[in-house]
Amino acid sequence: MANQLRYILKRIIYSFITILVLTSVTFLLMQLLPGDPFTGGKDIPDTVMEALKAKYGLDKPVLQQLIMYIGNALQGDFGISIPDGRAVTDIIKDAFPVSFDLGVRALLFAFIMGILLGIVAAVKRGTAWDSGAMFLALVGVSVPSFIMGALLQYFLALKLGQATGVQVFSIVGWTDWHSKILPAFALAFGSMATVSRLMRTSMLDVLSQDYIKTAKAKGLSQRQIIWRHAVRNAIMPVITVMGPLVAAVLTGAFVVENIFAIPGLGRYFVTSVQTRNYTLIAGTTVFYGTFLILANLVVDIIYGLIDPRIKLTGRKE
Amino acid sequence: MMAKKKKLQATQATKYTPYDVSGKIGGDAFEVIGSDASSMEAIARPSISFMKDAWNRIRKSKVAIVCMTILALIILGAIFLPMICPFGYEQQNVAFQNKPIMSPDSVTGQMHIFGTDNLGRDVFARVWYGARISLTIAVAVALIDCFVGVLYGGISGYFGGAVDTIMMRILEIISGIPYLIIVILLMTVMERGMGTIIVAYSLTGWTGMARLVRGQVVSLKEQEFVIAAKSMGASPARIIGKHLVPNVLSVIIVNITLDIPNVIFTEAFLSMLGLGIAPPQSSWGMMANNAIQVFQMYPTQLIVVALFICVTMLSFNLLGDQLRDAFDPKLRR
Amino acid sequence: MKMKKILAMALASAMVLSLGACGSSDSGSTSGSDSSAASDGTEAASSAFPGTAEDDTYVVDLRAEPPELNSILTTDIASGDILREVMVGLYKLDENDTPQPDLAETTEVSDDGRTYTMTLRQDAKWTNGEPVTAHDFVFSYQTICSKEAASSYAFIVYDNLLNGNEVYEGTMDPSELGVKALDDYTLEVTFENPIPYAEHLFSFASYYPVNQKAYEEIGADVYGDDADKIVTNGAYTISEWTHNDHITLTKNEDFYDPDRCAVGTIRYTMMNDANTRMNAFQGGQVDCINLNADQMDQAEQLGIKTESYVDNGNWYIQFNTQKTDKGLDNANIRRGLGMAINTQSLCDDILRNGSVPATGLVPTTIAGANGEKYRDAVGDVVSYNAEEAKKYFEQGLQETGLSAEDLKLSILCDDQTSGQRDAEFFQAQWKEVLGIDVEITPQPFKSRLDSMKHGDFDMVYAGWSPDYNDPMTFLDMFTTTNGNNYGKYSNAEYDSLVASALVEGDVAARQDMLAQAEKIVTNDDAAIFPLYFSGVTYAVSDKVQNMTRTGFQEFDFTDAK
Repeated sequence: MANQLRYILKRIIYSFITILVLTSVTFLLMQLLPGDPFTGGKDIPDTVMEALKAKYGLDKPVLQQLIMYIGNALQGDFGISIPDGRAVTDIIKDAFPVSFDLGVRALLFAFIMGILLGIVAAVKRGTAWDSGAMFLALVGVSVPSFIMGALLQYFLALKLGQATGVQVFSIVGWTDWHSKILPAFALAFGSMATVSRLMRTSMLDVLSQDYIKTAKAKGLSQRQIIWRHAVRNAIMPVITVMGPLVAAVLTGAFVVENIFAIPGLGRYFVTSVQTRNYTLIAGTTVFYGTFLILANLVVDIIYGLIDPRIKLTGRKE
Repeated sequence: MMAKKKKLQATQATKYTPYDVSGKIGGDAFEVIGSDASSMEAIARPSISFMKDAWNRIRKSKVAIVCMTILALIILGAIFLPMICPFGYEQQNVAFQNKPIMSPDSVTGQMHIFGTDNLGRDVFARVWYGARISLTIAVAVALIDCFVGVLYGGISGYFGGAVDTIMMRILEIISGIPYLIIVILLMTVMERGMGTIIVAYSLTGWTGMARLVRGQVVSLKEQEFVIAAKSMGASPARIIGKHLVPNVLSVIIVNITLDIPNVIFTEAFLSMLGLGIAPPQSSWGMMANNAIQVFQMYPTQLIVVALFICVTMLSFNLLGDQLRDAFDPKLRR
Repeated sequence: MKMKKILAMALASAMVLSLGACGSSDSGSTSGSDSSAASDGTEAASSAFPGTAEDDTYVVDLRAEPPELNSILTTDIASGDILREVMVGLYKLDENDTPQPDLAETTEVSDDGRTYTMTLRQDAKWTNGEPVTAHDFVFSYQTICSKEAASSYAFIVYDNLLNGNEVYEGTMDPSELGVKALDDYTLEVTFENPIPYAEHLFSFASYYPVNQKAYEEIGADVYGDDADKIVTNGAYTISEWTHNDHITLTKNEDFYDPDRCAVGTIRYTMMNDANTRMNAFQGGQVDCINLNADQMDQAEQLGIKTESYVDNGNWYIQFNTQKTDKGLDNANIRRGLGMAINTQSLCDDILRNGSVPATGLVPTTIAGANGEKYRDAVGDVVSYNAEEAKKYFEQGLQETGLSAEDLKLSILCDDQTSGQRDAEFFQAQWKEVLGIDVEITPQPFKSRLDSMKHGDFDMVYAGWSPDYNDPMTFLDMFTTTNGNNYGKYSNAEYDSLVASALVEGDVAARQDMLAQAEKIVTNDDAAIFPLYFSGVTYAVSDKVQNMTRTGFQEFDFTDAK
């Protein structure tokens, strides 16, 4: 137990340092960006510019700004998004729950479908089921999400709606279930593929183990063997990809939210990059980074707790 | 070492020959064939190196052969086709926009095999030129990741102790930073261009490789042949280069193969955000992004580039899987 | 067989789970925006694009979030679109962009043309119940002319009002500013110089009134950030605002002239992606979207009703006259480069969005003297001519002693798809007509402006949209000391023409000076070469009526009679 606590503590400290580094790097990179946050199509007279810089504290030395920024960020204040004058924290508070909702749906979808596909492929190894499931998985890893999203929107939302007269899937928005299926699916597809491939390999590995043969010899039915023994053990390695998958889903949302016009944080991030909205880029980067670092931390800790084989004294590489 | 062995063989030889033949069976029943020291030492089956074995197994896999052929064709096409194509990738014919496949050009009469895009540029030329850019980026990034990762992981794993601790802590912090986020950030700050893309992608991408290599090295360096080499005074560089690296080669090759499609994907993703290659150059990501805008009217543009992306990704992924299987000692028979 | 069943069940459960997972958190919160999508599919068969299904509602796409609804700080077009509906000022632009009195019931102009005395209507109310008075204008103008407010558009007020600069710099008391409330409903505005376009200014967002009590209660930092953080006085009110998704305006029943509203509810959507917009329009989820060049064929094929207008913007090539080694100090080389671009083909084949070839620096929409458009009165000053271009270019090369290979020019442009696409077209034209290779340097918007500021370019493909409806907004840009004169162009004659036009009281004489200046800067010196007046083409569904879309009003739904 003491070992576990020490491991957890250590991981927390590293995560904290990583967040700090990320925050500083982000802030300093923003300083390298050409121009300033107020640069627009029109030349702003010097006197106005001075007033603007003073208002947002940009007239202070960079180091002082950095310390202020980190200090404020620690308290959850990422400054003001300059073109619209809204607090970055407010924007995140507004928009992130939407992205989170979308992400959770996509993750659930990816995990459940991926695991099932993997099981089917492994159990029916070498059959059409296997090839079918793996083909689907390969399509998933080979088609970029923005192509997938646009195709789904066009064919399943627009064309299907026009053909049948019933709009099963909405084209845009994020309101009711009509509008939530396609984006979640578009976002989940790539991850689903990863999960199913992993699950298949892991299942095959487990199915060749001696205890499965023993179970078979003892006369357990196929179903019991698969669900009671094989799946439980095979699912373990799949949990390790949880961290990277969260990252994939979160970043994939940048594109999917854009295509389906969903008011999530991903869209803000994309527009802030496109319009070079410095404070918003920095704020969302630090926020996303922190979120992912913490998500990884949680996955690691959970994995460490549930898998007795992991030595908690050190991270097993 | 060789000298020692020979001496040992010599003493063994004198000890056992000639056979002292006595008993019921007549000595003439046997023929003294003597003893050949070298044949005693010989391994009955021909010696197969690790790489050779893997290669043999890869060769037997139809999937791997097909993938390698496809990739070879795409790579050759990327190198040579832009040279012989009658149209330049940037050459416009604005009066001849968005034409379907197999349209003869309105000026020169030459065939636009894949049609033209929204500026009347030849899609065939662009997609092969794009292959050049996309693959160059992908391969360069994968190689840089590999080089830095092997170096970092090798040094860290080999020296162990305080060096390892410090290096791994640094790595831990770097790898904690989400990849795509930092790439987007870097692409925002730096000027657009192929060099920038390669630098931005490989800045954090090497950490996975470093981790893998370190793990391998840590377990390998306790093995006898490394200890033997060390005790004979081989320098660390020699041990890492001659003994450790060849043994982690499988991990490296598999990783490079699987890294490449990831980079192609990332490039496509960033093009969608407007952070890709600078025009008039083309990359697959950029072409896909442009094609998706017009695909309702001119679907072939999307189909062409999507096919190229998908086939390449598929080939690399499948090949990576096959390689992993081929290298897996558990599957060696 | 068994596997099939399991798979089917699993599929179903995955669907249900992933849908139900967070279902409770979002139900109800956005019920107002539910487009009843299910019913419009059937209608689509009878008419091509009847529009959205909701009654008395228009859904129009704004593409992006309006960034700043605080009229003191706002600078952008999208915010102006919303403010135009929810605010009334002293004047209002009609469907032809002509200012008509709105809050100002009577206007008296002094003989020197500098002082405007207006009596205000007494039935206008703020949404917090307070009456709209002359003090609201005084408060607004004094606030915008203060450094604390830090408004990027402050100069459009302080450069014009009497003592504006001094008040802004703090050397004079705000009460000295040229705006006075003579009584609650009489406002006196005094300008530094006579301003022929004063009525236009009065219809501009920076000249809107602001309710002091509300502004101070809500707080300057957050005013205009949310639907409940703004107090308005116009024909519509902001009833709902989900950031980055949609903003809903509803008819203001307390407004003194409710008849001017075209529709009961307007919902502005913010769809970033052109493809998404097109799908949403076809699917009947939006009534009006802007179209890009690639969508023109499709719109035609599908029978979508499209309209276009010239949006006031002028896109041009600006030359860096300091680059002597590249021959850009030579007017003939510059003119050759400019004239070599086939602007008709640019508009017809590349832009395809209603843009028209530029015939001068000032677009066709800008008002001139005596009710005539400036462009019509002045005539053409530039045009495409490949032959002439080659001639001028050769002549320029001779004059400078440079060879075409020496030039190694580059053109700076935006890194957005359209900016690059256009630059690639210029590149091809220069190659074809002048036989020179020009390199393209695409940069993100802000980097481009930064490079321009530092003179770090040979040629730049840039655009300008007017701040007010007068040729001066285009023509004062290239005076020697102007901050927007990135090419460091300097011509004493041009400078003096602009300077005298600034103080000239006679509109016809003023227009004459401006026309001369325009000819010098675009034709004689070709310091900048205008390419096209940018246009907007939009798709509109059958149900939309009484919508105004013009150069100065991207959207207006308050012109119904």
